[in-house]
Amino acid sequence: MRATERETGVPAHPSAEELASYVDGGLSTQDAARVSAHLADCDLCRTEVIEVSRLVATSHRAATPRRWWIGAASAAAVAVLALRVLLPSATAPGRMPDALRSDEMESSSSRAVEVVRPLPGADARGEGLVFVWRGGDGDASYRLTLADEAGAPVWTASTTDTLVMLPHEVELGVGSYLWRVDALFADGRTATSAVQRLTVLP
Amino acid sequence: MPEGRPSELESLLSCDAASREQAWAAFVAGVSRLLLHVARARGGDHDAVMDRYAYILEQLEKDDFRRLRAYRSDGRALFTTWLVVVARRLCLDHQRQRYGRARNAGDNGRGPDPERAQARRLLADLVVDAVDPDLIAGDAALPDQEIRALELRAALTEALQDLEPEARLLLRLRFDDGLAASEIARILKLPTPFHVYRRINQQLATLRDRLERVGIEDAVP
Repeated sequence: MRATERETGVPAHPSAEELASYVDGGLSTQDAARVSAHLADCDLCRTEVIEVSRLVATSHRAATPRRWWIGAASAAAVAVLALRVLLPSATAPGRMPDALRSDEMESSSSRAVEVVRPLPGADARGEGLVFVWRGGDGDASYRLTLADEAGAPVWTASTTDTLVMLPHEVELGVGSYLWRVDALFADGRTATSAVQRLTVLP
Repeated sequence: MPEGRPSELESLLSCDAASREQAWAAFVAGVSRLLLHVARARGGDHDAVMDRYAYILEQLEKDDFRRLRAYRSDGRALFTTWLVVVARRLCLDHQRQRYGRARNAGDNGRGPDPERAQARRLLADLVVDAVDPDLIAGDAALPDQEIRALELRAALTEALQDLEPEARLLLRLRFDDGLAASEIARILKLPTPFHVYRRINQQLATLRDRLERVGIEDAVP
């Protein structure tokens, strides 16, 4: 067990629970500031935060659902969200529904997820592309879906953060793409962004 | 965040002796890929990874799941995140048992690193104009230049210590650890990488002000 600050007189290293809470953003403002102060001066703990953060961010590649323990109410909401995303109205299996391929770029009042970058209709280089959005009120998990012009999914990412970077191994060819972000909140609410168009330049 | 233990964990920790094996198998099935993900991150060949994985499972099961019972379901951290922290620490324990502690343990486990020295020069370059890298590295030929370099390093260190802890952490992540802005944004819960750049620029301006106040504007004596 790690020594406490009271016992040693020096700032204590964060416990496993405290460090995990810091990575997940679950600490109070005061506690987070205290941990940040420790990390600023402790190479070991800072290395730990960096590595844990990376492992958590890439854990979806291990195909282990990060929220496999979601309770009954949230599980129902997940099922509803999955149906909305995956069930096509008049398209082939695996393709985004027609509603997602709409050219509508305006957010409706029912959409709590606001896209920040890339801007609607933006031109971008395919490599190192960063998607950023603002979520609604409350804790949420997000799923970003990137599809080609025909609506076939190219890449998906799940995160509790509000930004993701396109991995190096996903290569986007020159052309137009569509993307959107779906949110699942802790209380079972769901929300979505408007479908965005993105053009990848040579 | 939802409170309460994950159902598989709850089942494991509350099961009777007869169903213990089945509950453990179900729990392992749910977390095995995550634990392998952590074990692989330490590098090595397949055997080394499986050694670490087996060690993690052995330690999690030990003493009637003592480590797993330590998880506090107060909603501050996801169970999976907590498990990643615990598993990574167990991997380090395994490494220490097999290969001993790192040699430079007295230096917070991180010894001399040319990249860190370079990163510190970059920070100094950004803060003080026209800095000669040789002066920062201390390879100056003339005594007064060497003294100047020492003064600059000391002043920079003192100025860094005067910053707010969050600001100091930001600069350490960027210049000591060499993290990309997107990764820093994720760790510090900033909305975008652009917020990271903006804060870095603000702190660099603050450092410049402080160095100018003590008479350091450039590296020329």
